[in-house]
Amino acid sequence: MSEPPFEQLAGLDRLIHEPARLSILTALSACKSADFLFLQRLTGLSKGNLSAHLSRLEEGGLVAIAKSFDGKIPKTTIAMTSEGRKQLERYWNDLERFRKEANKWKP
Amino acid sequence: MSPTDTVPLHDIHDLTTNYSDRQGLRIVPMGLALILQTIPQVPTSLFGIDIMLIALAIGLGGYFLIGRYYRRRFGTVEEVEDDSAYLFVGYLVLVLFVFMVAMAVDLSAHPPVFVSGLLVAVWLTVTAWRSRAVRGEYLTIGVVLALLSLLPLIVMAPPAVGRAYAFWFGFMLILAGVRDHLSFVRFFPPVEQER
Repeated sequence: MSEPPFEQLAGLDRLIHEPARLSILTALSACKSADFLFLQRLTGLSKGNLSAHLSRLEEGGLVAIAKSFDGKIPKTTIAMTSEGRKQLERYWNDLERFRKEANKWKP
Repeated sequence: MSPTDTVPLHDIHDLTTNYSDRQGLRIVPMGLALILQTIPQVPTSLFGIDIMLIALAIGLGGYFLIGRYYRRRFGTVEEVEDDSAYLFVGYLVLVLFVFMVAMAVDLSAHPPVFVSGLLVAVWLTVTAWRSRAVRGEYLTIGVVLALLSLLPLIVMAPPAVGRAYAFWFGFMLILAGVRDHLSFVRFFPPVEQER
């Protein structure tokens, strides 16, 4: 017998499942890297909120953050790690599996 | 609800994948440069340099300068290239070579169709058809340009077709660029205020 859906959902990666972080990871999975300004414009998050989300993703090993200078302007570049790509792939596979199982449910 | 809830993930992926192609204003100078060549009062050369080369320089210079505006306003994305750099350069050289041959044919053999124009139209149509980056409007532009290239068969003398072609190509590039820019800008949600 398969696991009850609630327990399955509890197993979803919560680091990825949060909407803002999922948006960030979706963008980063489509490119080599992006800078902080792009992710801020894309998500509409404040600098503080975006920094907090990026820190959590970096702590989880999903993204790598590099700080540099473009002339005199500080620049923060964010790239997804190979582990991050694997985990995002796993997350989508999990969701896909749950959806397939949900299709079998009867009212 | 956070601002990110309003932006579909598919669109985020698509915009990031084709980030520089979505920056529509970058092709507007090329459109203006094409139109510039069709104005009768504009001299055919300036300081001994052919106006076509000057227009090309304006178009390419504008493309890169406007890229800086997008980088400052919307940030930078390092895109994943489809092909290796060598393949891309080889492809560009081949396209340029074929175009030069077509232009030579137009100038020397005076064929009943505008060959170089038709070549650009076919290239644009095929690229728009298969590319993940180019939008539907470029398919329309390609078809319109192909029809313009065939005009010498029916009504116009080739030089007049060349001018009409450059004008409409420039005009449609400007329209497509502005349209792309507006949808690019509308894509980004308003940024949250710091508390």
